[in-house]
Amino acid sequence: MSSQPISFYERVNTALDDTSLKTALNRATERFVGNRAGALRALSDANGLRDAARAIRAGALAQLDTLLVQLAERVEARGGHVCWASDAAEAQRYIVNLAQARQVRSIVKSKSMASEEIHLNQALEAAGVQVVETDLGEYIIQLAGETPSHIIAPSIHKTREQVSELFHQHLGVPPTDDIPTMTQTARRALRQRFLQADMGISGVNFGVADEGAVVIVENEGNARLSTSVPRIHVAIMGIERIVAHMEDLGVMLQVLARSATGQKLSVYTSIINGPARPGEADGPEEFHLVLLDNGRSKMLGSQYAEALLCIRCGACLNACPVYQAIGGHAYGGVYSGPIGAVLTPILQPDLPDVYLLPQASSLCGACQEVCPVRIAIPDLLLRHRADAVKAGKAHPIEQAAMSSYKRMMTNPFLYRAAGRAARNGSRLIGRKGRIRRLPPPLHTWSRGRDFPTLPAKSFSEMWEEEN
Amino acid sequence: MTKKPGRRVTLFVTCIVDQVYPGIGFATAKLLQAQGIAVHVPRGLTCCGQMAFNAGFRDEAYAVAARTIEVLRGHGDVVIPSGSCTAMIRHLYPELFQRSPYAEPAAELIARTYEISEYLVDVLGVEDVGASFQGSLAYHDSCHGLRYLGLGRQARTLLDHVAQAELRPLPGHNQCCGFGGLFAVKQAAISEAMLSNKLADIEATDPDLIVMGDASCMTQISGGLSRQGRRTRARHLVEVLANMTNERP
Amino acid sequence: MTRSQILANLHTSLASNRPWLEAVARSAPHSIPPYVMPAADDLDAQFMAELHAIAGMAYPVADERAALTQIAALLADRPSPQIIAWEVEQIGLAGLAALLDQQGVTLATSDLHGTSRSAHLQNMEPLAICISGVEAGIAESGSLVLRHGPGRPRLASLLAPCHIAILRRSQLVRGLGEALALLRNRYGEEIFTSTSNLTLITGPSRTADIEMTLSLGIHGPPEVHVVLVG
Repeated sequence: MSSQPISFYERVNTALDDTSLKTALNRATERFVGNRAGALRALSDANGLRDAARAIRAGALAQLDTLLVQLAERVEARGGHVCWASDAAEAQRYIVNLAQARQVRSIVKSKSMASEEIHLNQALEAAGVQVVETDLGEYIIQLAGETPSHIIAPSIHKTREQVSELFHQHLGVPPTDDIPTMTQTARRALRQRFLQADMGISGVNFGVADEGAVVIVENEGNARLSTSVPRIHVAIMGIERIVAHMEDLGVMLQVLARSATGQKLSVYTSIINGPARPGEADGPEEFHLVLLDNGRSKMLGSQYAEALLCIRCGACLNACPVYQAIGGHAYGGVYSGPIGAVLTPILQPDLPDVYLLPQASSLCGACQEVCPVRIAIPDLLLRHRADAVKAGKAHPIEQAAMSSYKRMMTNPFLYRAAGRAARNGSRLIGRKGRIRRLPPPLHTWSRGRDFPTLPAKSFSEMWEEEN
Repeated sequence: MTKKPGRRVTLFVTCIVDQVYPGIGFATAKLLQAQGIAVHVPRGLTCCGQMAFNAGFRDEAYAVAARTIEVLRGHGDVVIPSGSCTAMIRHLYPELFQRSPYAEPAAELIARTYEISEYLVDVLGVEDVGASFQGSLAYHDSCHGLRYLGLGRQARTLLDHVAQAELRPLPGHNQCCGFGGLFAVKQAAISEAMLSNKLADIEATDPDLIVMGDASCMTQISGGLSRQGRRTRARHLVEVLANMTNERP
Repeated sequence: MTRSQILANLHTSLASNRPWLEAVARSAPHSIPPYVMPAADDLDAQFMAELHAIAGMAYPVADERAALTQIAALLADRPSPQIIAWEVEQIGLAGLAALLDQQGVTLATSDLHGTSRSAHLQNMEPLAICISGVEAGIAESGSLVLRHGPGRPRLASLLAPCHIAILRRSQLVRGLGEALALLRNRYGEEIFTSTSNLTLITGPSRTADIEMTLSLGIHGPPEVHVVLVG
């Protein structure tokens, strides 16, 4: 996260050198990719469903102003409270103040990327409130003092041995290599935290404007417990995560589950509308909805608006060969993978090296191919690259190279002369048709790859001689 | 297979073929001529502008691409032996030239620009170009052709008809080789990690030739095969189809 | 204030990008498909197959009497003097109250509101069984739709390790779209008037957060038993 002082390239090299990370990434991404493909194949009209999902999300964003007001009014009409937070500090302050005003000592939290975005845990802990992450993967990385490395599988990078050791250290249980045993250990430890918690904090997968409801999707049951057991429920929602009608869930939940894990539906979908009603035995006495802007309202008017269609399924991470190679932490932001490379420069613009994230793509397009709402992620990465150049972030060598590229490619005489020089040069440094070491700045190429020596004449020179 | 006498196309070989792999340009021309098509190569063609565009240098890309549009103006169908450069024109010129004087000429160029396998199979209706190759082949789907142009079927159709050749399925055939233009230099470590997956898949298939539709991916894959001393050779689709697989190491 | 600032930003942003978003919105129909898989002949069989595939159990029974027998067997395997359940009239299975009486099983007080929330929870924690009714069952995903509310506590499908749900054949719909349409038809604008929560349950609680290895019952019930009546 923001506390990581090392550079993007160092993080990449650390990740590439980590063989257990490579094993874990291969196992997880292969499984996710296979499950997703199987789930989509089983549909009568997978493409039609994705088209509908994209259209529904775009339609909601086109009227985001009115839908948000409608959502907030309906939450309030049911006795819920709404906080409009323009940035991380405002969202933090609202939740910390609420916890203090209600004498909250302990909080159970279910997975929320928005809460990562506002560094909520640190703020609450600084205020003396205990916060425990209850999603198993989030719990594991909280014990390890790390951050999520995948939207759907936050502890994808941890081996069973590492988890066993964490549980041994923090929970005093004997080490084991049996995963169901570890799961039961976590169940027992976390169950007590649920029963004692004063407040539950959750994310939101979809806000439903016409009902004033929030939808939370999960497999474990920790979100149900977090939102049903403690007396206060705080839901944090990025303002773009909205649909107009409850019926829209008939499309959105199905593409989300299939794209994320290959399930037909996630195990639990909670549709929550305000605090408990009179006569309801459980559920919270207070419901608070934090609507987090944090750059999104401006992003909606930018050339990156399309990224706001994202439903955080993680399919683009699994499909991305760069993510498969380096994992989530190398990206350095809350969101990783291709969509993270689009979002982080906007949502966390102050991170060092953030302009490099959009460079971490071969533009292969696998992300767009699997995206359930068909976000043109490579196009958005290209726009970031253009913005970085405009902002003067390009390396001086690259700038110089690009201006000579332009001069050369717009002037056939120069192009021919430069080509001839390069071809002659290449045959001086090459042997048997291959070059094993290219001069800087191209030397990085030849660390692991040969380059062919160039022919004596270009195609166009020979063509003109022959025709 | 019907000859198309009287038809004329403009061949845009791309900068990398022009400077590094002239054989691919001649192979493309030979394939078209074999269909009775007159091939024209306009003087002074250079580059589609993708290298600058992908690096974020849009002013430079604009200058180069605008000039390419000018050179290709009024030249009829344009055929390119590259999925990536064709995708640059078809998919990215609209963004590069939006709200510019070149928006219209770009659209006009897009409407008559084709990648070579697409031109042979979908436009000319050719499936068998009369090629033969004694040995085994595997086909790698280059990303931009696959995902922006919907290619792959055409090349496989053409390769299926290559006499005596055994076409082997390649695991991970639609996974990126890790080239990505300047990505291969600027993010060399990641690029190499991606390449090593590709090389492992090729090794598992062990074909005589690994065939693809882009000289750029071919440089990456060939560079890895050569460095690791593997027996498999990387070839462009047109080199196989034009029986010109023996002209490079 | 923040609300007006965010809304002002949205107005400005939409002034430039609304046409593009609306064009995308118009690019495909928004109609919600009632179901998304190829239609199966037999909804019961499809529901049971889907539930089995995700490690849930289904017990097709001919009538209410057989349902009671099935529930008695499940209770006998997991002796529990108290259970967490919907009020029996909300479950809507004639004879259930008598069966529970006869087995000496009482319903735990699950009302958390008031001062002793944590004490109530601690009392319920050791209990082994939850029983609930459902609003509908979804055949193509093996899902249960629960509309909670007075007499229908959420914890009665959540807290204990074994969840028994009573589902009528007549409550089966083919897909999620159909289930949502059914809720709308049945309750109109009043879906949430008397309840704060609707939950879809698709099989037992699961996680694969350690090495992508599946294990059941991390937080919710590891066992889901659906008694399919009629």
